[in-house]
Amino acid sequence: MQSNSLLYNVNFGGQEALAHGYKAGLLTQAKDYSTLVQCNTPEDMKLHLSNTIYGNFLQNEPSPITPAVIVQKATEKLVDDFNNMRFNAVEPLTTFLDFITFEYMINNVLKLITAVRTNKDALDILHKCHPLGTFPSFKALVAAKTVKDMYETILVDAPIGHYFTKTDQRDFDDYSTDYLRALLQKNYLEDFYDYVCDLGGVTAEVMCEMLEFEADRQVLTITRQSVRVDSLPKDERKRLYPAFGDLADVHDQLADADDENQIKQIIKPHVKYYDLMNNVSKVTPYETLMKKEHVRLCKKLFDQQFNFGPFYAFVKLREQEISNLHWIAECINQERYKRINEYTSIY
Amino acid sequence: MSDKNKRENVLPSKMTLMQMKQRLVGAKKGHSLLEQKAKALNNRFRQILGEIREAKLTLPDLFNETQFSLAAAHFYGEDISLTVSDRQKSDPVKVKLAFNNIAGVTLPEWSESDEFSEKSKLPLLSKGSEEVQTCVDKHLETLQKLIKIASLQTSFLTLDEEIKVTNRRVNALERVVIPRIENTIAYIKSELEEQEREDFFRLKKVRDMKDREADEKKQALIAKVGAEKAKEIENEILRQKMETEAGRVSSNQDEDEDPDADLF
Repeated sequence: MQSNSLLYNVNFGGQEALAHGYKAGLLTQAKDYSTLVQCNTPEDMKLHLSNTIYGNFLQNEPSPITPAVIVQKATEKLVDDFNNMRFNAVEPLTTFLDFITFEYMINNVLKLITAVRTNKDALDILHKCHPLGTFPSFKALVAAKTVKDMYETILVDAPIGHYFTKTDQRDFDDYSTDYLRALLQKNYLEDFYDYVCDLGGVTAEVMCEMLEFEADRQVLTITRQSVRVDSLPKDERKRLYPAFGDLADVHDQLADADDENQIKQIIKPHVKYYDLMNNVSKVTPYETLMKKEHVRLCKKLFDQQFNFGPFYAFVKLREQEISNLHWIAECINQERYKRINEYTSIY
Repeated sequence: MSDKNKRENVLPSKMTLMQMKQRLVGAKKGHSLLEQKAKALNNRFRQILGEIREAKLTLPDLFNETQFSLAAAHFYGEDISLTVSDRQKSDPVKVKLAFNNIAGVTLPEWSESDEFSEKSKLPLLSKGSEEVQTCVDKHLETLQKLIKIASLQTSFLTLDEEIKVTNRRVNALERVVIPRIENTIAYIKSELEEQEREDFFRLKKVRDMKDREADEKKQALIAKVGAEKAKEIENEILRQKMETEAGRVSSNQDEDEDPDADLF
């Protein structure tokens, strides 16, 4: 279908153009970030942002603007833009865009489950869920009072239900939510990877590279954290590794690793990750290096036409931008100008 | 008021004097002990004040850093609400209570329970776990500082009360009780002296009267029987007196026997 560049634009041309348009609207280092970091209050930020694609998004907010408000409004804008694309899409673009939202759905569902586990009112958590991650029977989940009921509801109705079948019922009770999230994330990545490979063509090419990086990122993060804290048994660690990615051949060794030096030795053949781990220092923490790599790959997704890459890249880069705005706003609010430049710039 | 209480109303006698003296000794001893206690309490008070001041000075910076570490955790972790709500399952942090004793005053002292360090070691598998860990550590550190300050402040207040009470007691002893007792003692002493003087004077008067009576009798006798015969009778009376004296010493006779009774 879309491997045929001739007919691609018939169905998806409009959306792809939208995606490229949104890419052009992303905040840049030269024009936007350099001015934003010099603002003295969030009000100044609002002033500057009104000249960008964000426009008057903060216009109706009461006077002292907090970082939380900025994030909330920016997320709303992201959801609007995403839905613009989503509602006008046809297959297979709809499924692809749905896949992007599954990640948020996983998080939302886990939040509700945690709320029930700790006997909190699920309705409170509802407004904290990410808007991109709702599905039609989401509100029904709130009504369920025990984990088991939720489990049944999820299996039946939700699009992400099949990620849960691969885990046991027991997992819900025993493991921490972090572990569950990593497990579900692994299932999701594998599923997405299979789907994308099925799509074939340019999309498969570009998205596979992106997803492999996501998988490797998960593997490295989990390994690194579990050698630091040391309370995750090794077989459970292995369960969380997605079954693909550049580091797939050293998964077994990584599962057995006991400290950071060992990890570095194991990944030596994979130059990119080896360099990344070597560059970790107090000034550039591990997360920043990972984010930079992620952003680089996302930008690369825009390079080719007639594929679904730009949609994925748009969502991820916007999220990163919102995160940057949050960081800058917090630094300005708390007057910590020394660390304000730790955001990850995109362009 | 102080005029009436200048001294107690007691019967001035030797026994009450002894009692008063004992009371004075007790009051003075109590006063010196209480002064020592007040000194010890004051020392500790000043020490606590210094510690509170130091701790409170570091608090604003600590709060700022903690708040900022939260912002950093949000940034690097992207969505940490899951991790946070997961941790709400485990028990809140516990605190132990111990009692210290300073110069007889029990002061409460809070310290963190042993689970403290374990709280921060739960595994985190999501993005930005390092920064979240730093955030947790910073919050625990702030909590420890707050526990310490709370415990110091309660000690401070308790000590303050205690010092006030002790000072009141010391002053009461010094200004009221001891002067009262001293005045009472002075009064008793003066009364006793006066009684002694009265006794002495009375004795003198009686002796004078007796001497005069004896003289008059003597003159009457001389007028009756002549000077020499009077002298003989006198010696006879003296001799008899000495015999009865010896007899009295050896047999403890009744003192009221008047040796002159069979003469007249």
